[in-house]
Amino acid sequence: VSGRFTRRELFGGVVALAVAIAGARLEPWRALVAVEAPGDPDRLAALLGPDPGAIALGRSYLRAVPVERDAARLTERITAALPGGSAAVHDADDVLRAELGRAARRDFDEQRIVCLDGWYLAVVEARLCGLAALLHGPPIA
Amino acid sequence: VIGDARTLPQDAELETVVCIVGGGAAGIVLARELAAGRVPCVLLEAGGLGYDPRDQALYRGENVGLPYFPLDVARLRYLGGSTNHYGGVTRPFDPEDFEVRPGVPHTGWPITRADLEPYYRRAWEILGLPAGEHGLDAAFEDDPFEPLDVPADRLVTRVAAIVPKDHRSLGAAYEDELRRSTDITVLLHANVTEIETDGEARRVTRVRVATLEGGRFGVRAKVFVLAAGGLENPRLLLASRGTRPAGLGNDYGLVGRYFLEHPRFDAAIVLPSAPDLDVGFYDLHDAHGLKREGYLALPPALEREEGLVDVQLKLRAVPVKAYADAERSAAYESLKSIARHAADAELPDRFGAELANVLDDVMSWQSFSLPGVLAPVPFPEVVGRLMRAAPAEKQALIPEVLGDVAGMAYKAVAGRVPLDAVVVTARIDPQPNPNSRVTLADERDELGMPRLRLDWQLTELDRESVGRALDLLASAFGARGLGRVRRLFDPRGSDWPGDLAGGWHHMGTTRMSTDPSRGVVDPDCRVFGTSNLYVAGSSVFPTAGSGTPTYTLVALALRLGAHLRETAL
Repeated sequence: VSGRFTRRELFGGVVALAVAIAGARLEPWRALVAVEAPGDPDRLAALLGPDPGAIALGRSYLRAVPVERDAARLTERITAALPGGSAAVHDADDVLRAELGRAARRDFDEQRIVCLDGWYLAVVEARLCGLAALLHGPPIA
Repeated sequence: VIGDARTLPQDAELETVVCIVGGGAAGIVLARELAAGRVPCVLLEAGGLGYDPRDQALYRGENVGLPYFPLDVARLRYLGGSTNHYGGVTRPFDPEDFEVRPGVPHTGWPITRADLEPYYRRAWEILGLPAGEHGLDAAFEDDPFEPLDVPADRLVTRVAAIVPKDHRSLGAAYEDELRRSTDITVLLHANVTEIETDGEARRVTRVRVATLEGGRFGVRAKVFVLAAGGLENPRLLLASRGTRPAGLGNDYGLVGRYFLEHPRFDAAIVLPSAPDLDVGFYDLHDAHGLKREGYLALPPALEREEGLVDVQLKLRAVPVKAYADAERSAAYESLKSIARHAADAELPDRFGAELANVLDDVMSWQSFSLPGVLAPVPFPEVVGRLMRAAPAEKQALIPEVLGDVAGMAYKAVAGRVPLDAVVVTARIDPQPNPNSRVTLADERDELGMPRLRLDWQLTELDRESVGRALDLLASAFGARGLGRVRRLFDPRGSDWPGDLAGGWHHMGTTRMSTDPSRGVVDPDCRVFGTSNLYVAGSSVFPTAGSGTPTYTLVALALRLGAHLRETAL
């Protein structure tokens, strides 16, 4: 993971992740997040934007879990964690972010966590990063 | 009475009822306890009343295991012993510390917490702590800070008290009393070089004593107690080979094995969800006249269920980069003055002699402490590095001792310190390990005693337990929305972190057991196979425990005193 990305960038990725799914608590940073989503995977990935740290974390996740190197599958698994299911991606930004935040907390509470370059992430967060890596990052070897 | 062994006639033979070897916490407390029952004793202290580099050099030894402090830095050889650099952190062992831990080999004490309970209560007073609940964890409600709201099945919050400065050195605290006592004879500069026994090594008859000035004499007693510390107790037993080639009490080769420390290192950082995360409970702070600090730890039930050793997580707040303001404050100017004072001290003699004062200066900054303010706790590993640093390097090390004061000064001028991060220091109650041990080295000291060789080792279980604790920390903080955790330590790696250090806690080398094939002393602290040789101090601990050793070893010394008064004399 760290071969092409500095630790600072990875730190930024975690911050971006926190901003994306906890936007309501970090209001000033929300403008940084562009949300324009023609399709479900794009909509979810757009929450993170093209953040290099998030992409690096996502690449690390997908290397560890290659079976999830598929945007549709990741989207399905992310939305499965939301009460509204796949329809949740059509919710307003605030609602979607809040639901993702709650899903992340549930993951932490139930110890569904992964450790990427030392950072502990909820599985739903790691999958969001994976989506960002698939849609915005270079191909994964 | 306090006397000087250098004034005794050559080849003098003294006789007493109890001869105590070592004037540290255990020896002083035991002597006082015996004197309270009007039992005469001679307490042989190898050093004087203050730091002396020539005395201290007798402690030099080899480190061949995990990186460890030089052995002449990790302890102090003068009245009061290593309490002279005691940081004051105090907490009793929990009941679980005394139990056999499923999945953790070589655990379990032959006594229980209940056996120590009355002695803990008295030890609390001996250490100068205010009357009240010594269990500490019941004291959450009257604390001005709140513990973090983390799931109790994942992490628990514990509390340690801080011994007042004027009671940390038991030598200084009780010197006047020792001087006035008619039942205690303290002999300074009295270095025991060998324990002599009858032909069967069943009964100790005499200890051979030397001074660095060439004096030689002997002490005969009804009972002998080794109270020279977790490194020196096994050294004396191993070096006493007059009747037993492998040393006294060493028929099963256990003397010196199971050396324990409380290893610690920075294991993680927390990125707080909000910069106003309040970790004041985990900093040093005042709570109704008692200084205390909290920390997180694995819950005992979870440790049992998963077969883990106890891991404690100390939280240290890192304020936002606001040192520019702090550096303009008057407080910071005073701090720099202290730093210059410390940096100008010469090694080893001046600095050693002034170490306590320097530490006092550092600790005195805590009296400026506002609630939640970062405390400049002088971690022993940092002070140890300072002690052995070259003069030119000392200035660079001072900020490590005092650096957080800048945050304190900042708070004084700017109010609440917003946090950038929280550094998580892991501290382990490690698995007792027979391969972690002290043996005798080939080199001899100035008195002809073989020096020590320390081979400090940890186990995979220690590493795995820290990893599990960090997983739980991350899940707990994430579940409560407190922040995200980054691990600085790879539990699957083969190396320990570069900042791995101990706490100047030397334990386990003459461990207590009911079975002579599994321990060196019995539950009364009597060396197996002997009728009148006892050991006091943390070397009898079978496990390092979740608390700090001083409090428990003082309680054990009181218990031994009661035992000797009732049964052995």
